Amino acid sequence: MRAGRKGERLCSAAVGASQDEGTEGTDELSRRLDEINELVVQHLDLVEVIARHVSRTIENAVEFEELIAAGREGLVDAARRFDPKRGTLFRTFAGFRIEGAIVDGVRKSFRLPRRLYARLTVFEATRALNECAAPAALRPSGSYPQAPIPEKELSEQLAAMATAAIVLRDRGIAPDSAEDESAQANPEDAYAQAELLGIVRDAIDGLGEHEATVIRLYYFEGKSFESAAESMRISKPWASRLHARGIEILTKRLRDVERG
Amino acid sequence: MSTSGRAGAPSIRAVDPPQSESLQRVKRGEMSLDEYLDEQVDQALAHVKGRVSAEILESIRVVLREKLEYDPVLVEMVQRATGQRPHSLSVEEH
Repeated sequence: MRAGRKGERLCSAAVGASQDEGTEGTDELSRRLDEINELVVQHLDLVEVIARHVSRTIENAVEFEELIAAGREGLVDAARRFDPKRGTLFRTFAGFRIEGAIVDGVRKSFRLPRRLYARLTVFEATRALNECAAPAALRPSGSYPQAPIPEKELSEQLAAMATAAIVLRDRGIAPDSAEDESAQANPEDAYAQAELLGIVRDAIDGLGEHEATVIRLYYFEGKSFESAAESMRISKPWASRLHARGIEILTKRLRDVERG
Repeated sequence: MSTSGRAGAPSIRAVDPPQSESLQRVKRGEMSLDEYLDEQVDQALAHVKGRVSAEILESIRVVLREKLEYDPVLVEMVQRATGQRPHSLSVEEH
């Protein structure tokens, strides 16, 4: 996809979407397309910023333009799906979609060294957690209880992200196609990781039934939150909250083990 | 505690939440925000350190540190905790 000038209709995908919605009137379709187009044009800068950060993280292993192309697809998708009634800013909502599209694009289309592939996995795990935290974290001041200790809120979120990253990693670090530059893990690492996996699985067994189910479906069965929520017959936001709570408890258990 | 308002009525003054020594140093200008965020990431990894390979630990460290500069949730949390916004890569820097 190519960046267009302001005012152009950029989104072929959006046009495709509108053609599927044949029951809407022409005016309504046109208005909807204009809204989507405006959102896309106004947020092209966000694609570049996120692509730049992902690029730096994977040590510029992929052409920057490839990241931009994937990110723009994520932006168009976000514009099509965005529902302002949910109370999230478009920029926030789109940021997660853009990052997801870039990471997925790299994962599917490029062979990376194993250590860089591992970083993509961390992106995936931490995005889910932060997206879940967004509604509470980004409400305007006064409309939602603020964390009593902001510094603690930050450190707890980072620790939870680290936990999510290692739990997701247990699902498998890389497909067979990833370049394996470090061969097998050494025996000491393998032992530590097996021990960690045991702790994580025990900790999951000790979670509440719903938290454990969400964690198992998402991290070990590879389901999205949408399909996990669907199979549990709960809403996606509720599944996200259960996920966050489950990860918080896992973090605490891992810390307890660490402290002996 | 300061006093204001009607005589005899106890006044309420906002109490600053407890802060780490590092955060106090950031606020006094003795530590940069980047150094503080590096330290935050290190601390966040304490419970997984020694349980994953150095390669994985480094992956987590790199991604967490990068996200502190652009992820809206983390940027907001950093702003609330420190009063400063992390430096993000902008379009002009390419």
